[in-house]
Amino acid sequence: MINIVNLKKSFPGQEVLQGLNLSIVKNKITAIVGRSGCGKSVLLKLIIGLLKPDAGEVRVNGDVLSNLEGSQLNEIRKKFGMLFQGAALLDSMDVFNNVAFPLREKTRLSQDEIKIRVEQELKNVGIVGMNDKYPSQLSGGMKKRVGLARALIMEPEIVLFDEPTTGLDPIMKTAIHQLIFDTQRRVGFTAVLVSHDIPDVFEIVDYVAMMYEGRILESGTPQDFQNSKDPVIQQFLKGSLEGPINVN
Amino acid sequence: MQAIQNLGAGTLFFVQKMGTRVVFLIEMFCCFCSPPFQFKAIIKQIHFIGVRSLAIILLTAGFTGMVLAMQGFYTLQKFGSEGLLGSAVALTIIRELGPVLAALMVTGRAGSAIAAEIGIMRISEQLDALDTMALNPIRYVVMPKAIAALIALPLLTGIFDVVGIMGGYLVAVKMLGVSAGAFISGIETSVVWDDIFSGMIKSVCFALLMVWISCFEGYFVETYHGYGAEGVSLATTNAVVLSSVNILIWDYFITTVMF
Repeated sequence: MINIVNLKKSFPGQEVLQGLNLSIVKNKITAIVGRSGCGKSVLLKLIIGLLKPDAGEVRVNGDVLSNLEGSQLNEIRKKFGMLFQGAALLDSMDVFNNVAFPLREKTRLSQDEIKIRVEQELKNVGIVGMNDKYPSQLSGGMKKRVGLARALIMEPEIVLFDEPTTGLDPIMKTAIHQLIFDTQRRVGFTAVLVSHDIPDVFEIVDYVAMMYEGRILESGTPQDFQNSKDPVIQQFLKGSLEGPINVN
Repeated sequence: MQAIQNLGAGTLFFVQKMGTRVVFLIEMFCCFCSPPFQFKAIIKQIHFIGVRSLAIILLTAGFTGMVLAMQGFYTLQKFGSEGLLGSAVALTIIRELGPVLAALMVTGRAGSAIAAEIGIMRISEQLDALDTMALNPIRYVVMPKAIAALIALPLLTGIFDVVGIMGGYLVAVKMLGVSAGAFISGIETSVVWDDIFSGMIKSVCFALLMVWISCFEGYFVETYHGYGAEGVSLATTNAVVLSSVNILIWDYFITTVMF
């Protein structure tokens, strides 16, 4: 589905990705974990073509993203939905219009059909009776749910989640994790989830890949990951200050 | 050696930024020429840029015309030519002050708001969200503002001209005792269609400059000004300063070409 080959990306004074290789399995949930600032969000932006790699390639169903521009890139992007870290809801629109926006712009559905689809999607993510609220009137958890509804409204094949539970209380974290899991199992999309919530996130994902020093250090099932003897992974899982990972 | 390196780096940065500006302008024009045209968003922006700038335009125009009449009267009186006051006020406003001051006022009010709005959309990833939905942010965010500015600013300039001349008339006729007939006939005999047309051409150029610079500064806030609130603040300041300076510089060149 998604193959990432020898991906390199640097910003002034910082080499973020140093030849990263990863394969994302179709119709499964893959978590990408790693320290803050190790380039997980950059990787997601490269996967969806918001950033261009310095070298290497991202292949989506065989198409190399970095070779595409304009309408060709947009055709590939139609396969994607993305839930941003801060939800990235359009703050000049209310909840209903935020979720309806992609349908209005990308389909020829009637207003009635759009209304039915949006209300169903909002109901699926547990947002009811909030249609006329603006993003600034919503809590963090509600924003994520509306963001998820917007990401799913076009029925994408691939959904990217950029730290979907950051800044939420433990109960809301579990609720969002469960929502992602249930929705993925119901719809069957391919999910790539960047997260810090270890080990909670292992409960809902099929595969885990750990980023370290600009590369994928290890990938496998959550079970493989937890049984790994790699000292870096063990230190990361335990959250220990002692070990090969330099805290500073 | 370090100085030469810095000079080279600075030159490259400048050239690269100018190139990005031109590409941004071309993308903006491409969106003008292809559907969907975002009519609702354009109407909303005409209200924001045009209608909501009306009060400040009326105030500025009225007082500009009034002070122009006073200063003109003082100068013309020395040569015994008070009868030319209507002509002087009208021509100065229509050819010069109307387009320039209206553009500067709109830049101060709407240009800063445009840069801030787009800048905030950039730092809160709203523009990235549009990209991920396969929607071109320039079409959805920039183009309605650009078309609205190109429609609203010439209209505001027309209003500025009329109110400015009325302000001049009030001071000249009611306060300074200039003959109403002389004031009006001075305008009639001296102002020709070309004067009005050139003022409108100027206002269209200034609208384009204002909206191009303001949108660019907001759109590339993270690339050129940094992150967060500080980046948006710098982008907003830059948008107003650069737009204002460019309006004044281009005013000179357009005047040179047209007169």
